[in-house]
Amino acid sequence: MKAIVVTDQAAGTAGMTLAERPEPQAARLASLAGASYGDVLVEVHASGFTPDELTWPSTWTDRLGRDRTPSIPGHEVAGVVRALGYGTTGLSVGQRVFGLTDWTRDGTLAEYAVVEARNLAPLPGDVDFTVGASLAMPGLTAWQGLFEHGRLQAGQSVLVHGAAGAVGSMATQLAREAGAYVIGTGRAAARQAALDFGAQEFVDLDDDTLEDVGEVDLSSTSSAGTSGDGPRD
Amino acid sequence: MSVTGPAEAPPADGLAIDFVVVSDRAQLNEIVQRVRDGRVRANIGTVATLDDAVAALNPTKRVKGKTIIRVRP
Repeated sequence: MKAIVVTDQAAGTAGMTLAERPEPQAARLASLAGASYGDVLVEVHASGFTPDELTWPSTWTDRLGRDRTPSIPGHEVAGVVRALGYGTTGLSVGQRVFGLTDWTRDGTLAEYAVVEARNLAPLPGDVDFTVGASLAMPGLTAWQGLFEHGRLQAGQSVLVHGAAGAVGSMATQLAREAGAYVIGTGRAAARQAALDFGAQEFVDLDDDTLEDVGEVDLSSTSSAGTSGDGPRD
Repeated sequence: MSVTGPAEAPPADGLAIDFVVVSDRAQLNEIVQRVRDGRVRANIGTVATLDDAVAALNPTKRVKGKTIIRVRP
């Protein structure tokens, strides 16, 4: 199958190449001999990539710290289930799905990907694969940041950095819908987009300072561009 | 909060939370339902084929929204 692969961490996205990789074997997946419990084979229709992936150890080594290159990046997916392993109750062959896949396994910039069933949700027939793939990472990141970790309540104020970006625009919309007061930040050129996504105020980081904002209940910063060591188990 | 790494500057009067995003079927269901009924819209910038993915993921100018690689038409 065709896939994008990376082999050199120092090269960044410039090191991506289109290559031929072995296709995951559906028969092996579905047999007890080769059982990978909980895995399904997904025919990839649309894939999303988070640039920070290439700085995370999960792209380069497995959970034992062993080199796993060539590695297929891109861990956001929308596609169709083509084979089921054991322990995949709830999904069926031919079903449209979308989700976020394990960072430590080969990803979805490929014609096929093996994904744990629990990482996938049904993609309704009226939602395009391109949209499905675009929702997984921004949607889950915003949801978990706002509601699980931030415990956002209606009536609270939230500062969303990069409010017109992929994650920020999702956080802005979900926070507004939850009844929060949203202050977005970004470059001056992003002002109108942030307001269109629902931000009630916008702080232009080229000209304004955050000190002008005053106190907020929650501040949301998405991953892009930060220097963290990335996903851990 | 910072999603994948240490918060750049911990708030003077607050709590900094780092977390790693995980897939969650129930949350994905909630999110996609909001897209279907118009409460949330996707933020998609560039869409490219797998053959053109390397170029699309190495943009020469700043891109808006999420880049999606359409592996099958």
